[in-house]
Amino acid sequence: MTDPSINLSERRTFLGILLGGVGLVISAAAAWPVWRFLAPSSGEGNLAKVSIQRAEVPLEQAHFFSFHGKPAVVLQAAPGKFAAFSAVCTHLGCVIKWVPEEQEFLCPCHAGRFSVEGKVLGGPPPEPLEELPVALDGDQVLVG
Amino acid sequence: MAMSPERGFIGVPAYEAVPDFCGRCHIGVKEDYLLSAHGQAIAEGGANCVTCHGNHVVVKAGPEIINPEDCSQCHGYGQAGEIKAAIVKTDEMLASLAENLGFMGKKGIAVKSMESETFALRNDFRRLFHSVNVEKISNETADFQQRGMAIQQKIDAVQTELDQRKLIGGVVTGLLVLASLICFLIRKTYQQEEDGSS
Amino acid sequence: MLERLYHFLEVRLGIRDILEQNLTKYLLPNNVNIWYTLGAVLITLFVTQFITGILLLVYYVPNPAEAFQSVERIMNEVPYGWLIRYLHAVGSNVIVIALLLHMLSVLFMGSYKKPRELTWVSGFILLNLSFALCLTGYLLPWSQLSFWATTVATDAAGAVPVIGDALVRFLRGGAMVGDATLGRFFALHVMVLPAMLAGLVGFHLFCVRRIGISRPPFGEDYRPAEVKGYFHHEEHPGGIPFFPNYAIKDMAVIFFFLAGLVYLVFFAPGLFIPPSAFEPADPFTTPEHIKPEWYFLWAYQTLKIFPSEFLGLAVQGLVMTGLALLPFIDRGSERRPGRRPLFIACYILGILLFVGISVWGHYS
Ligand code: HEM
Ligand code: FES
Repeated sequence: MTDPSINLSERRTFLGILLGGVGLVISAAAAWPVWRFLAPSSGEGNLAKVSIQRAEVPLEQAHFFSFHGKPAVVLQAAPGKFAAFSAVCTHLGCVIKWVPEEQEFLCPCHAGRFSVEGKVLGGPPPEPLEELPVALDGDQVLVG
Repeated sequence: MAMSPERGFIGVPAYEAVPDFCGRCHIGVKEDYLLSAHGQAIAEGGANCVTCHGNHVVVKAGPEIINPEDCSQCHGYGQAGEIKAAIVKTDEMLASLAENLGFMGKKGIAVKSMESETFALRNDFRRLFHSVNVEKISNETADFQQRGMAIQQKIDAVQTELDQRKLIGGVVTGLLVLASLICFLIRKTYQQEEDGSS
Repeated sequence: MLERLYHFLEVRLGIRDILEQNLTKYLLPNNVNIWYTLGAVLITLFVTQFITGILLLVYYVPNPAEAFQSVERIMNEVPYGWLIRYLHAVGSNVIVIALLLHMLSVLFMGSYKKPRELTWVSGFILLNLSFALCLTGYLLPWSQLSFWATTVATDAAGAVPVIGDALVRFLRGGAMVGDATLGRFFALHVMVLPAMLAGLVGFHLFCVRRIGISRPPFGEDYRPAEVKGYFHHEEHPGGIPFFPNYAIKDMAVIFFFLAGLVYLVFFAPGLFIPPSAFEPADPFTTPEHIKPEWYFLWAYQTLKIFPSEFLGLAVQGLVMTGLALLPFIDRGSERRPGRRPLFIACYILGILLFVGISVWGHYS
């Protein structure tokens, strides 16, 4: 009690550190929910199969659908022979189109071409389309 | 006046026609009822809908309408009592499920799918005991119990989460109060300084 | 690195001087009291409201067909969506409480008086903007509560003579509350009103800072400040520095209010969000006991007390105009409550009347 000012400033420093600590915890408690609120839901990557009515994929036609949040395509190239691919072009990410006259995929962005097996036929794409596993179940086509 | 045919009053259905009348809406229950001992015996005066449920003062039916007085008007209470014993617990459980869900819905929890699941389950259960077949009822009640439990588990999971939220909320509230107190204490150190200097 | 950045800015903007002038060398009256923290509390709460509002906007869909569902998704599926929504909805109520306290303290201490009329008027407009924000925000979830509360609230405008019907149509964008109403309320709630509010808060703070904070009219040595015929910034030599001495008190009360907000969010959100808020709007079924929010109950009830709605509306308009222009009506320079018995009597009577009519409205 000889010099109250020293006493005061010591107390203040101590309280200040304490406040900083509590403030840090509170900030974290506020930031975490906001992060989770905005973070894309992690449940998206579930491994569930996507089923499609077989009738929706006629012979020599392609059917576009959403596979785990990304565009995909399933096609019946020969009777009863189904194949599915990611519909995202491996060049710069445009979505490919099916050209029935040519029986091949065309990327409208830079004219990349892919075969019914997903192989590159021409244009800038560096890699074949990503293939997705397909199974038949009665009148359903299961992808994934 | 109100009972004139022009105004749509179709008169009292004949005793045997009552199940058809009620069954226009209670389709499932009617089906099981008609196959039951009650329904099969309707021509000989077997109980119809109104016998147990009453006519105009239809009350929300509960297990209490199975009781010695009413049942023994026609037959011994033995079997009826067994049926009652078999369904009471499940019926109560389904009722409390519906109640819990209603309660949660009022707090903003999305309960619609669980509610329709419970509704369908209760409906099926009512069909079951309208068969008044003791053996069938005791065999299948367990299944209903289980399906009810599954819904109850979902409810419990939600409740656990709600409780957890409260816990965390309590901690955060506490931290904020603490921060406030610390600030007041720091303020006090300045206050003392100010008072000292003036 | 940081030091060089600081130096760069210092040379060009003179930030040290700005900081000093507004923080350490900004002196507040030495008898400044806790009520002066409410302005800072309000700023914090509004910032919170802006943040949670923008977050809600990420998932909310302003379309009658999907609005309710999108809010239900926020409440049930989006991680911590319930927290963000409750913070926003309960926060609006806490803001109203803080606004009323701020206004009442300013009234009690007579700090609205010359030369602070502009501070008061801008503050009063801010109060009304806040009410407008509450009203428009209430409709957005498109629940039974939203729909019917908005129907009742917009219907009241019909009591205005001559243009009443047209006014109601204009507010709703049609004869009834519907798609068009949601569209315009949404635009108001997320864009127009917040922008106006932000601008006006800026002006309010500018006024406060420019003319200088008032000295609380308490204590032995208080004398009414002399009001001159020219601009004069009220100084408080020998006062206490805003930073850190008073800022820490601001912080203390801010944390206190945040604690209250979080407490309500976790333990009593139902106080402000009744069950009918969780039923989708149904334009063909009016729910029973539709009541406006607590801070609108006084207006709701006055409309019912008077024999005609027009009379009720007129009285409300009169009271609000009177309050808005108060510093031009109450022109004496005396600010000490003890020497303003008439004003303080009206003040207490006014509060009692507000509470009484609200309670009446709640139970009627
Ligand atoms: C958006 C809402 C508002 C904000 C953010 C706000 C903010 C502030 C701040 C930071 C101050 C200075 C510190 C203080 O005295 O608390 C202040 C002062 C003041 N406010 Fe507000 N205010 C708001 C609404 C209002 C309302 C509704 C009124 C009255 C109708 C009002 C009237 C005043 C007056 C007269 C002062 C001057 C006090 C003095 O110099 O002693 N304000 N406000
Ligand atoms: S993105 Fe497909 S060819 Fe360029």
